[in-house]
Amino acid sequence: MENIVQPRTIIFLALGLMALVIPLIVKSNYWLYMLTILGIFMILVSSLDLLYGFTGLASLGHAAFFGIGAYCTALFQLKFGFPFLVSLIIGIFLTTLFSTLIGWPMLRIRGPYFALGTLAFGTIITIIIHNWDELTGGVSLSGIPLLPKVELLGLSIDFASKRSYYYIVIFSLFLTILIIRRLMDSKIGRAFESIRENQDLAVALGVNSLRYKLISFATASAIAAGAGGLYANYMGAIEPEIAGSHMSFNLLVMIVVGGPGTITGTIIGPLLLWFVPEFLEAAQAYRPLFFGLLLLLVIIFMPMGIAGRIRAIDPRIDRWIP
Amino acid sequence: MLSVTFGRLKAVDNIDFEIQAGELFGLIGPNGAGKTTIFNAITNTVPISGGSVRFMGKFIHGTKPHEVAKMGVVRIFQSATIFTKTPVLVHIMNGLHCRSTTTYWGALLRTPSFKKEEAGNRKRARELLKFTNLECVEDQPAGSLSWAQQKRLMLATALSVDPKLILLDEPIAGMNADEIAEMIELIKTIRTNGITTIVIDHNMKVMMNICDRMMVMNFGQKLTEGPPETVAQDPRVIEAYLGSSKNDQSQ
Amino acid sequence: MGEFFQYTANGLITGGAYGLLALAMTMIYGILSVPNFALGGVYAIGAFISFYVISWMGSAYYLLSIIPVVILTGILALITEKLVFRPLHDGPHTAGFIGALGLYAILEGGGNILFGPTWRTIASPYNDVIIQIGPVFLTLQRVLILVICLIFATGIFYLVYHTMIGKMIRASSENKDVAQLMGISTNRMTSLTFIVGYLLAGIAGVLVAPTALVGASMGLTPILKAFIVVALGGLGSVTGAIVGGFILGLAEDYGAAYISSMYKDIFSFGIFLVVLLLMPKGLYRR
Repeated sequence: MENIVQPRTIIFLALGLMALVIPLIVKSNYWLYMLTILGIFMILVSSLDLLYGFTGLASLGHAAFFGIGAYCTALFQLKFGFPFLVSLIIGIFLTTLFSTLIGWPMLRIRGPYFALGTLAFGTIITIIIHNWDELTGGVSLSGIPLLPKVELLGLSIDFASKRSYYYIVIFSLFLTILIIRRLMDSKIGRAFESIRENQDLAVALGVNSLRYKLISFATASAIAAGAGGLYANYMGAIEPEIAGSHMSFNLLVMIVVGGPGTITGTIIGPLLLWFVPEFLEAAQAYRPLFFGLLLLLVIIFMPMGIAGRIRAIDPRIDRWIP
Repeated sequence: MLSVTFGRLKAVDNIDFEIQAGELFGLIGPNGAGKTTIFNAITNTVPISGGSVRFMGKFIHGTKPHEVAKMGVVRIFQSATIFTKTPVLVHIMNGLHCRSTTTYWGALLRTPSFKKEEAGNRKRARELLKFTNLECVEDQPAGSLSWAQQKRLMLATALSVDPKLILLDEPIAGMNADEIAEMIELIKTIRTNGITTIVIDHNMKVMMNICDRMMVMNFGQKLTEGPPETVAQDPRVIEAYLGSSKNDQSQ
Repeated sequence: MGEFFQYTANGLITGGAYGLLALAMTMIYGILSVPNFALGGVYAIGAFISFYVISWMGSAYYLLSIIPVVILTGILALITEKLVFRPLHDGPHTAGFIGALGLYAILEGGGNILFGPTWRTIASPYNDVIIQIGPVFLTLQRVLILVICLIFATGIFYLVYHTMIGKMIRASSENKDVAQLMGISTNRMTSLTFIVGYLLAGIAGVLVAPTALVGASMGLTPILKAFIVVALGGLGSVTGAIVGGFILGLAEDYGAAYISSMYKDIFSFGIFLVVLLLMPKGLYRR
């Protein structure tokens, strides 16, 4: 059964094809901008899904890693003049180091305490970024350089162009999904799910829960940091709030509402909770209210999220939802 | 070979017993006697407050629970503790976790050794699937299985860890006669394969039938130990189960 | 040296406010095993109510705000308990927690719309009365916070440990099924706990409003700190909540005074993290 192409893979590839083709159809810069940011959000939410949807760790501080990645990438370019890719890799590396250090003691803690601990951690990070102006520019860090033009195989690629950046993000999104899929379809992924379903049983069967929670946590933070770096260079300027509790909360809502443990969920989440509201300018003030209401409704009536609920309608439908 | 000495007041009070390799050892006693606590202590799910636990000559009290499992001591819980959303075949593969050498990067890069090991894991899980008669539900989430099927699934998953010692906590509770018979066959086969087993259960008929030796507990203490026939005739055991008859008799 | 006493007094007052919230949270956690973040929203609502009472009727009528607070918090308590927490109770235990987060977001979001996004201040008649005890200067309002907190703390303590109802609440907290078998209506006990808890949070809001900035998200940081107090003081422990509240308040004010006021909030979170990390098995009270 593993060798036959599953229906959901077909849908997934179709979606991928659509994503690749979009810039050829959509010419408006504004739309490309929105879609690119949507893509970045999808990468970020996927990383939280790895943590929450697959391993069962509800983190309220995940945005902190997004922020640290963004700031590291930006600062290494601004202060040291390193090229984007190098700064991005350093940013990912430092964030992962950080998350491993903080995770090592924190992942031993269970349930709401862990969530609160991550929230506390995220809040502390945000406050530090905000107050350490000499390093981080305080309220805002701007002037992040555009990506350079590059000569590749005779083609001149302007990475700063909206279209090229869109493809960079889509490529990163594919990479993220590939990484997550491959991890999940292995003993590592099985360990994650066993921890989520019943940690005591997992341990009784020989799973070192701390170790695997740490692997999940570190991987998720690495991906989040990557998304942060992409975000920093795209926006040109970043603020401490991108690492903050409101952002973390929004991310959690996106994955809970979208559907934890599914790719569709990481699409629906940001789409419904970021993309759509952005167009309803008049409704901006209602956003937290709307989020809270949606979160409540979903957790009471559709705990598996929208994607999960659709899947549950019928096993035949289930096979088509990636 | 297992020798256990506890010095804890409430749950298990200075119990000392030893189990031979390959035997099927029964643990009986009224509810609250401390039987599950002994299991908890062996797997170090619960710390012991005195004494020691030795497995195959090595002291294992204080070892982390997942390492105890890796050493070959696997425990099946009393209630249907399963991974509810996991499909049955994958559920069994979970037990192979500590026997697999796949690395993080191996999984990411899909190296040939990874693929080979995954195929091997699948094959082994299939064997156990067949052994416990769960082939028909291979793809279903574990939570949708019947109670008896779930218990067999727990057994299959435990067996995939390739244990030397299995701790069965009430394996036939809640089953009808047919299901019990099926389970007993499985347990007997496990024994013939050389795996040492400790069983807790309340069904006396079954216990007398399958156990090589038994230990009776009450209020955290050992009442008696020995082959089933001897234990059944021990007056203290009768007293513990049926209540004291001394006060009624006029002597 | 006089400053030390001032900081101590400040700390106790801050701690009093935290204590009230922590008391509310610990009672609800005790009976439901869910950290009810919605209390942060109820806190803000209490503040809003006193804001509107003072704005419409003048600061002399400040105390009148207690009436609408009692009514509104009671209604909110019953609604949220029945509609949100009861259905979630049977599911995985993260569900209740996420539900509480959702509720808080609704309350904060709703507050933003009704009250507006700007922070405002109000003044009660007690703001102008200054009491001096030795080297310490305090407004009566702030003293009121501490006094009311102690009154409520004593009252709750008495209720929980020395009355029949308290016994029933404790029984329901410890083992719902057994309590029901003994004829206790655990649902009613839960509702009662909710009402008391929400009332405490609302009163805390009323008391703090004249001393701080009033806004829709004013409850976020305090409720987090309340949870920290509860987590460290013992889940479901009344004394833990009060004592812990004071300790946290003192730690914060000493830290702000002697170390840095800019990073004030970090102290609470930092302490929380440090203690949490030193007790790796989690806080094993429940």
